[in-house]
Amino acid sequence: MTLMGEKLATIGPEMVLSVGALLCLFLGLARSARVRHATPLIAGVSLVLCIVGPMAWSAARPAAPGEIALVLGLAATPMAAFLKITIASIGLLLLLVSYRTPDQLPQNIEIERSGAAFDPGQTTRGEFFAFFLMSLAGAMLCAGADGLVWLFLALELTSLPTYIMLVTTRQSTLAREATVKYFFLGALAVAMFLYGFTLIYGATGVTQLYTTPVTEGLATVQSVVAEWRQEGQPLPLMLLVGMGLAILGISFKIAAVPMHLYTADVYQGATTPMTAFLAFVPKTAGFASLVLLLGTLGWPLPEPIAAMLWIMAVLTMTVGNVLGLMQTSVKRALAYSSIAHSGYMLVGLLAGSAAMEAGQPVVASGIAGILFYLVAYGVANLASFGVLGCLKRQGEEAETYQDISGLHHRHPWLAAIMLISLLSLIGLPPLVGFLGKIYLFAPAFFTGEPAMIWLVVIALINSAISAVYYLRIAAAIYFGQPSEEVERDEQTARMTGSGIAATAAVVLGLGAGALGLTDMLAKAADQPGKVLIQPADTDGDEAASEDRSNIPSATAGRN
Amino acid sequence: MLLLHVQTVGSSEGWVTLVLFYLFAALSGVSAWALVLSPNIIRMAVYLMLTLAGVAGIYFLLGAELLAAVQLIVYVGGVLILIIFGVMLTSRNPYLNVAPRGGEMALGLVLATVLAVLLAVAVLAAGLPEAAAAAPDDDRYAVRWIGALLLSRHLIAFEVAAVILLIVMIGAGYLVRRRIKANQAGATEGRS
Amino acid sequence: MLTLATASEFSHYVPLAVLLVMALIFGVANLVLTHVIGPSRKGKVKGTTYESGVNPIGTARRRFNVRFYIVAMTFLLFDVEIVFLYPWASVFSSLAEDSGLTPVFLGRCLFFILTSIIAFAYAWRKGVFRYD
Repeated sequence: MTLMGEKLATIGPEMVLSVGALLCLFLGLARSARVRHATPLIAGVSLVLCIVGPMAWSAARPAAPGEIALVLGLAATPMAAFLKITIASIGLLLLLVSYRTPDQLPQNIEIERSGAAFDPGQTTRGEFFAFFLMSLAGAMLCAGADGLVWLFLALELTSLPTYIMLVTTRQSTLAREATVKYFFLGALAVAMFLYGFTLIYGATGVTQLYTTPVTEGLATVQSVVAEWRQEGQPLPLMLLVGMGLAILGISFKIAAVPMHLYTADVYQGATTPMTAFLAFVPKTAGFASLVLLLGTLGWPLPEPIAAMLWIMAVLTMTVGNVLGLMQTSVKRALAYSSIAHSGYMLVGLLAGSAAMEAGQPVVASGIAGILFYLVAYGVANLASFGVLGCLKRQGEEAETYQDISGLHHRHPWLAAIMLISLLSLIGLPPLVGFLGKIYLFAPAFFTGEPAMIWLVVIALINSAISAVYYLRIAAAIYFGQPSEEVERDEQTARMTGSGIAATAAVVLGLGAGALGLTDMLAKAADQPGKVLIQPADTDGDEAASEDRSNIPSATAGRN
Repeated sequence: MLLLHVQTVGSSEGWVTLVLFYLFAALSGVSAWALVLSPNIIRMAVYLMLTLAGVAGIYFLLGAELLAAVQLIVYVGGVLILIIFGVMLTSRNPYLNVAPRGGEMALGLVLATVLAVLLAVAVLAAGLPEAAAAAPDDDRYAVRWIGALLLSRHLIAFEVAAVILLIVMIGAGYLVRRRIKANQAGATEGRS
Repeated sequence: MLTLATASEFSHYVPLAVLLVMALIFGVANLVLTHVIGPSRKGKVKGTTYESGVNPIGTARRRFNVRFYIVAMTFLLFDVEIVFLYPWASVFSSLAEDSGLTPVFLGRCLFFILTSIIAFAYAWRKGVFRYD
């Protein structure tokens, strides 16, 4: 396979998702109701293909020694491979949780009920799943980005569909208010990180972040920075300002202070399955981008950036947990918990791979910590919001402590799922959250710097604070008075999704090592952006004009 | 005071460039101030147009002709129309006055000053690397250079851009269609 | 110190500059001339929007229907689309000649255009362009 072919092959899962999205889009407008109802199935099949496809590929084409990346299939970098599988798997669970979301909208109920002619202008089913897949594809593209241009477009592809999904999945003033806030703050954030990107380009003169087979031999941000560091030059202020702005802008996606202000309102305003989506997908895309961006600087990070991230981490954890304590709505409390968890993950980002070089075990890589925690938070978050989405009070979505009070007496299974996810969010063994926190905090601890050790202490104190409100939710579920008005929505898929997520939280917590997850993490965290594929025939030509590739077949499969 | 050193690529017409640079810079800068200080939203749009046009002029001077054309076609021509449309479609009175409160003004001023100082220091300290300034030998063909890059190294970005355009189009169509129906429903309710 | 690398050969912009100046002169001159030599009459009828046309209903300062937004949006999208097509068009012939891979480079661009065709097919089916 040629160079360009390799490059296109690296985005195989994204292509599959795009095709799936277009199918959903058009079949959602079909005259036949049966075809219209097949759209979630198509979305599910394309997600399954994203998981199974790469594995089948690598089984069919045994990897030569040195081709480590191909163990996971089509991804160019091990980190991208790991994240793509993660995004597709959790995306599948999210799909289960939000499977019925479009069906619950008044206009869709109306369409399916009335015997009148089908009006394509009214339905929203196909679009929902199309946007769902597109957003996931965007997050996957973020994980595999090798340049600033690509990264920017991928981040946009992740967020644009979420704005539309947010406003169309719930018909209420709250949702509209949430969308407006999310959209405008999102636009501000985009402006910020785009400005940051231009400054990074201005300082280094290149947009390429990492070397890929296609751009072999060309300067990249990473190589320019490495050169500066070798010569002992201080990094230019422009680069640092650029990185700072980029981090601030992307902190919107991960809901970190100071761009966290929208979180509670948006998570509350969104319909609950959508909240689960918003708490996972943009966060994953954001952390992938941050790892890729900061990876060009290398760990330990330059002083100013490290100081900024340190302050952000402390504030994010503290604000999230303290405000989480004060909420009367479970949904808002979980939103603040989402902020707090971003704070924990920033600890891993700050530690990075600094401790790795000191000869510590694999656990000492903060990148591995982040990647693992994205899985850990992903499943726990999905389970908790999924359970919340299964409950209704007089047709409205449940969200207060009162609504979930005494859930155990009426729906013991839902209560158990919620309990597992809450305990995992606290970080109690043997659940996945516990392992996640170890993976996050150990690297910071291993660096041995006083500032980092203090950060770990603050993070641990914060975990203790967070336990208070998580346990308050658990107490309401187990010891509260059951309320007659709250009913379980008949949502088998949603319950199944939450159930699988909770099971995953237990299984991954018990056997992350046995499942080979730690090995994958070790590879994934090795060096962000590092390409392990050796191109079959490197003709070494200038990529710009001498690109001899065999694209037609690849291009044909992309639309 | 900013010291401007003009590196002329070809002949000795450096002063033309310098004059044009200050002209465009002044146009952008002054309009940007006017944009921020104006309380009238439509006037803001006009000042924004002038700012963007001034930036386009600077792109021309830098030899980034495609970028300049894009700036004029997309931003001055397109985005601005969209903004004015947005105002006409949403506000009850498009000639609405939007005057910020004192606190907002102060906060904005502080943030803007910090950012401006930081950027100015960063830019002055930088000493631009050669790669950023090095246009291809013949700048009249910079467009072709960009085209070649889009088709090769940035191919994925190029196609992802297409997908984003697709999403925007679908999203816009989808949202507008819904509202048309909502409006009609509202209208019939009002009549009956 | 700020180093500004510039293109100083503006000779190929001279026609553009002439056009700009002519446009400015034409606009300003028309305004000034009508002011100077035109008759000045004022009155109630003279001040209406269409002096010898239909009487306007209401003012122009009202909220417009949101469906017009899609027009602006479509325009902008085509704008951006063309911005991307222009570099492609300028380089296509030489790239195709040099590499002998005409279908490849054509295909890459066709995919780009295909997305907007898909968008329009969708919008059509959705009834976005129906003004009823």
